[in-house]
Amino acid sequence: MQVVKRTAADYRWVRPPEWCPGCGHFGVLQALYNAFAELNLDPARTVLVSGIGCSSRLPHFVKTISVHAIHGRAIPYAMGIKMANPSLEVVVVGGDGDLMAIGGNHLLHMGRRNIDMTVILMDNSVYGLTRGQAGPTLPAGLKVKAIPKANPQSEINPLLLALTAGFTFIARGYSYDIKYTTKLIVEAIRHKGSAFVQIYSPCVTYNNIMTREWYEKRVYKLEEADPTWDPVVHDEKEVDLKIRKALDKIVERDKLPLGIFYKNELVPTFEERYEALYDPYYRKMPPALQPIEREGRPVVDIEKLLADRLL
Amino acid sequence: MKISFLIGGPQGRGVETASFMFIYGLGAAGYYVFARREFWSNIAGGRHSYVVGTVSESWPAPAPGNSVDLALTFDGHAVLEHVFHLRRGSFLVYNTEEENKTPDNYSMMSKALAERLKTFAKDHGIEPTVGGFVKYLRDNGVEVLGLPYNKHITEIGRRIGVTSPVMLARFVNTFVVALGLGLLGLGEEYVARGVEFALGKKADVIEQNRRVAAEAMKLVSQRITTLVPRKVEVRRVFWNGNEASGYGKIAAGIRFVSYYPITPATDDAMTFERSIPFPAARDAPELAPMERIGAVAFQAEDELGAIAVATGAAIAGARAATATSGPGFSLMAEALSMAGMMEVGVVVTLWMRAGPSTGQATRQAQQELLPSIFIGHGEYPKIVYASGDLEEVFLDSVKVANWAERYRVPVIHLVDKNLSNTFAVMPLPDLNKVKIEAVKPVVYPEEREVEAYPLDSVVAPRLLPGVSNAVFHLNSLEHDPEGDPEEDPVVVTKMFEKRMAKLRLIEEEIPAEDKAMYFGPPDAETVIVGWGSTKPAILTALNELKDVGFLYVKMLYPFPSDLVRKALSGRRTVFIENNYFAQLAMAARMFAGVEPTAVATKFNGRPVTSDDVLDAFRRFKAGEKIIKIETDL
Repeated sequence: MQVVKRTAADYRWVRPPEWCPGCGHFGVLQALYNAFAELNLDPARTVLVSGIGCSSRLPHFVKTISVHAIHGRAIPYAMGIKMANPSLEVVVVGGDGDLMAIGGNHLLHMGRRNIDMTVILMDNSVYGLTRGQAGPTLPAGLKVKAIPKANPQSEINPLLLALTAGFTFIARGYSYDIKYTTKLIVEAIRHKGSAFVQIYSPCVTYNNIMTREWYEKRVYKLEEADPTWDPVVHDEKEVDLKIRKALDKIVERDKLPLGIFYKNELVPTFEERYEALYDPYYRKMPPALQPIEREGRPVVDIEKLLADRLL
Repeated sequence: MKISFLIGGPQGRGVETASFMFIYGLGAAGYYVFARREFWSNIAGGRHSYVVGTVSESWPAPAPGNSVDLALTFDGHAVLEHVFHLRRGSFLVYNTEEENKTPDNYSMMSKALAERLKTFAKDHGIEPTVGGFVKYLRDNGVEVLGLPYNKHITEIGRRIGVTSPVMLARFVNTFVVALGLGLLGLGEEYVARGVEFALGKKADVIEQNRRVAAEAMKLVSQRITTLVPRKVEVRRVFWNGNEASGYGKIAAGIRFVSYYPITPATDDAMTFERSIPFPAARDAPELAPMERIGAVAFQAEDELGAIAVATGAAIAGARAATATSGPGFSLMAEALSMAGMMEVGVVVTLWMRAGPSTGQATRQAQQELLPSIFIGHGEYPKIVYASGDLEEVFLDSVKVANWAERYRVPVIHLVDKNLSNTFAVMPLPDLNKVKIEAVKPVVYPEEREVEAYPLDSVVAPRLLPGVSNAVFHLNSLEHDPEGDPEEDPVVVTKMFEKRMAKLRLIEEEIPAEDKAMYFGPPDAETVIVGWGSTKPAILTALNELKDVGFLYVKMLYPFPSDLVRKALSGRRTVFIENNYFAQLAMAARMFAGVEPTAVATKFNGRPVTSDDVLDAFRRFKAGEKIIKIETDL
């Protein structure tokens, strides 16, 4: 069989992106095109799922299957798709409002399931599509231009939350560094288990504080600062140590580290657990791919199913 | 032949187990049983719970009324709860050791009932004790078998070598069931069959309980009737409504069920989950080498997640469903609107319970008819379909799954608490009626970009990720045929009409007999109109109401307007419903222009009984137009 090698351009959908000029999201989109090309993902087997917000428009601009769902629920829609057909590549994209506020509960519970899927958080700390209200990652005391007074609510640290929720791949990128972000997305998709990538993606229209300049004064790369940096859990015994090391970096505030903080493929995925506990044929014959009838008759033996209830 | 019965006692102390033993024992003797369970929204704690039902030689067994022939009580509290459910000729079995207790001695009795009992005792010169009420009942023609339960059980234990109080306490179930089956003329072997079903197949346990039963039966000299064990040729099943629904989903080809725990829906999903993997039909070689068929049952983090994962699974190509009740259903509103917009077929089995808000989690109501029709923001096509008995629950599960796939709309399968806790020994539904109508997905020879919403079809060709070789966009935003956001008024109009055209297709294609049924004389002057689980009660009452018809509506949306209008034109109508608003009457007025003659409603958390229907009809004849039913069994 001939193997098609796709380029980043092959993943462009018919219409161009419709974000504000200079928006950080362009960088994420380009990194995603690049990553899909590097992984040579089959567009008819790849599903991009999003909720609502500027960032959630991203799937409109990508030539893969996409599901632009409702606010906050991208993760459970994506999980349903993945669980029904684990052979699909499923990627969620969304903003901090969508994934951390209205959809926060789903993020928590995806982590503990360790389902083999990637979540990309396009973090700009504001609600762009509704004109600049404070996002859940906006630090307390900051007054971005749309809100009348400084933010009275503290921020969520998305990586801290993802790590405690059980995500087994935790990374952070910066949208104007497309090459580096590409690398992180590639690693996240390759990772076996739930992967979470936070990408600082500045809003040029409403976040007049956390700008490109603001970020560029703060971000640095983990492996550049420490050439021995190794976030991978190679052995069960290393789990606690690697989590502690990741935490140390995740809680930094004055400087903002980029890179892979934690990666553990020793934790069984939901798919592996389900196969072991419930259904030995799960991945071979998942719900979406099963024949369910033959000439209209169910393939399940109903009388046998009800055997202990029959008189 | 019809015997009605009741088994009542403190919740969490074995009433349910005893009921299973009793019902299964009757089933094993060749009878049909139609029963339901009433209980508080607690696990144990000693609130009063009971099972009420009927035994019959034929099916359908009649629906229970407002009084019973036989009441088996575990304690004095149960006697007090059911004083008004016994009539001349009824038979009461009770524990004489609690004769001196008063309503106030039972701390788990509802204060309101205690007050009603005390007032009644005062008004009727009754000593306000269990013994006093038993005397009152006896004076009014109720037959009584009073025994000191614990004394007898201790004595029986001594005889068979059991002295541990824990073990003896367990014998109470067997003891009470044996008294009941003994009064019906059945032997201890039927208690043993019930024990085997309810407690497992351990030979020593069965034998021990059989001996307890034999000893208990020696204490019964009376007979209410003599049930002769019958041989039944018909294949029968013992199940409840939750189980009929869970098994129905499996039969329907549903392979993905999500849920967030909620009463009374969870046992539906749990039945599905417990059965994974399912046994394969021998003639299913396409599944080789699998002998068992897998599926996913998924406990979500909340109902928002439950409906979303089910919808996601449906997008991927699985037949998918979620089961919930009122509070969870409210949370699903936004996602149902999305399924309508995105054109995804997903099934929601809605086990209605008494609301509003948390309401009464374990009590009956039919309050979600209009909320189901109108759930979610915006206008979108959907199907709302109700089942009224266990056979329907099972077979309709297949229909709703077919429709979800065929029309790619959300389908709300309306069932209720009364059905969920209906326990029946009944004929196994005709499995030949299980017909899966699958829609084959399109498969392109090579990858291509495809319109998910082409304008040349009402329901687009079925595209599946990873199967169809198709790249396509699904969108909750208003979109063009390609699934890209579109707000051009001309395109919006076309897309809106394209979605709504499904409603007409549904109306045209689904046969009339699936939408509504008419029972009784075709030219009846008066027609009772109902839906859902009031069906058995109304049909039972219809046996006594000559010249009255019954229009039973199953398809609630799209509403079968012509059919209902034709069936009711020129007739007097009485809508009987388990809600406050008479929601079917409202729907009939709104969609079919039918003005009801009268409505009878019951909204106290208890199901409509056959006696309620008879009484409502009497009041209707007497000229009442708005009839409130307040009975409490």
